[in-house]
Amino acid sequence: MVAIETTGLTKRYGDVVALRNLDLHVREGEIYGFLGPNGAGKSTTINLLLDFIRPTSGTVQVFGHDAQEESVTIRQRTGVLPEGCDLYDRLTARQHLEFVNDSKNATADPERITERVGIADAIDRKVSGYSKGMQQRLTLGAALVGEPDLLILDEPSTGLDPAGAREMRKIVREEADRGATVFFSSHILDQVEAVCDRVSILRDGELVVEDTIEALRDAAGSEAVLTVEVDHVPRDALSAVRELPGVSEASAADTTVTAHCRDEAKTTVLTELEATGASVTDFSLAEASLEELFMAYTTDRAVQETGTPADNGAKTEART
Amino acid sequence: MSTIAVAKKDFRDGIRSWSLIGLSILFALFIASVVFYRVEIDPVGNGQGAPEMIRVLGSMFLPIYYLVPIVGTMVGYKAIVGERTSGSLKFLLGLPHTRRDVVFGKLLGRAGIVTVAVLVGFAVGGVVLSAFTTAFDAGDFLIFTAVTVLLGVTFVSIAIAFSATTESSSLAIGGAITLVLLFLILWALITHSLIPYAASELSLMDPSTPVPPDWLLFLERLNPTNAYVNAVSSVVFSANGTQQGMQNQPFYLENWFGFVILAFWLVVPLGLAYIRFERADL
Repeated sequence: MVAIETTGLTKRYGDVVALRNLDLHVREGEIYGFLGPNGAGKSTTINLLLDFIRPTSGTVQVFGHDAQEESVTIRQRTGVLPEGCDLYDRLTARQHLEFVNDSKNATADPERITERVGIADAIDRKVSGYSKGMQQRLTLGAALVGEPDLLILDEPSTGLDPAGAREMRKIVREEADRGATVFFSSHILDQVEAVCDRVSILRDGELVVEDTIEALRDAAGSEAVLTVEVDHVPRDALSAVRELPGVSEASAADTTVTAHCRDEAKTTVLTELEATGASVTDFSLAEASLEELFMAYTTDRAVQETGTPADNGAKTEART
Repeated sequence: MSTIAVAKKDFRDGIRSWSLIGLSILFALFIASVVFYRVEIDPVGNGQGAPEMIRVLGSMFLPIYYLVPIVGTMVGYKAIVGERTSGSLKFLLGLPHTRRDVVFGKLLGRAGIVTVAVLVGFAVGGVVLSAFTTAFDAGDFLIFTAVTVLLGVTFVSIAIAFSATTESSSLAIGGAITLVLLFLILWALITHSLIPYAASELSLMDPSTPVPPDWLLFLERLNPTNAYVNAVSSVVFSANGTQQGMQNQPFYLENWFGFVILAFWLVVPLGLAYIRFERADL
């Protein structure tokens, strides 16, 4: 059963395309990580799921309900932590949660909720005196009211310290154990890697990949990063290396050539470099991490596609 | 009932922010001082025609005419745009409320604040009035109060219409101020000077006749504050013989038509704003 399904989802603001042809499939009961750098279109997607904005084309379905036609039905079953949302300054945490109860016909116990999100001692204080992190905790608590079938959390770790982020992930796991689907957006891989069953990566409004964490890790693990020191980099050396089977990308900075390649391709890379006239003085091999894969997906993949050797800076940065 | 949940929250917010109590005190002081002034310090039209209480009520028109629209606008203008700019609208609409619940819940909640404030203020005023004037007629006073509530709610509704259609608080404030200026000051200028001048230039009316044409009178009465005066006149003062009614006038120039005009302002701007808000990207 599918919890969230988007088909050809596109959102344009005038000439700017915020989201292009997005096809997402979130399965019921899974923790789904929605990754991408800031401005990639994550919040746009979430705003479309919740009918805050309307698609230019394409459709969104949540539990088989159309996101525009049956938005209230969807939101009745969904707990939402919107990004950058403010709460009501004059209300206390208890009053917020009572209002959510009222709105959802739920009977959650405000004491229990605030205890879960770690603000029990501030339950009767006005939110105007809350820190950013406490507000974020309360918003998460409000999303938990009524045991929703779906949790949509937009950058939930914003404003939380590392301990708070860990507690938040614990709650996400507990909710998934209860049977809820969790849709969780973040621009930080670490936040997602630890809890998510499957992830998708969004970049410039387009879906780059949608897969399980294991599959992505395998993909990352099967690739190695070969760093080669040469006396000089001949003009056509890089394009020659890129042509080799098993090499996904290559770049150069000064006299250092970096190639992402499958393990068995590493000797052919060295041979090819020698063949173009460079003499190899040193080389090292490292396994690519998931982090690197994420950075490769979200920074300058265009290099590999167009073959312009102009982005060594970005790549070196990506690796460090 | 989602609309009610939103309305309740907004009304309670009005209590918490002291605006309900503040406005109630404002109205009470205001009514009491007008009554006191008109009875003790500068009595109006002493000993002629209508009973004293009706004359005092009549003298309250002008101040109410200014105060209630300003208060209604102040209470309403931030209702939706305020939540939109702070981002709490996303919290609100993340819950299972429709945008209709938000618009009409806000109207109910804020109308409730203005209603209670007017009622409290007029209750105090009524006590003062009955103590200081002869022939206090509670029925007339209640009707007067009820129509004043209608005026206040109408301005809340118009202000919320603004609030639902703009994306920035400053635009909403600007719109609200312009609106109050338009109805309280500019409307008279336009209908008394500008249009008669233009119309006689274009030979649409004869400037030498003392009575303006019906369409111009109607235009003047379209102003919700004028509609309020006419509506009150039709239910309170007509029975007391103070109305200078004209014979053979079209129905839309009769005083009761003020209620229709108030209803128009109550419903139409907010209805249009709702349609726009419903389609907007938030």
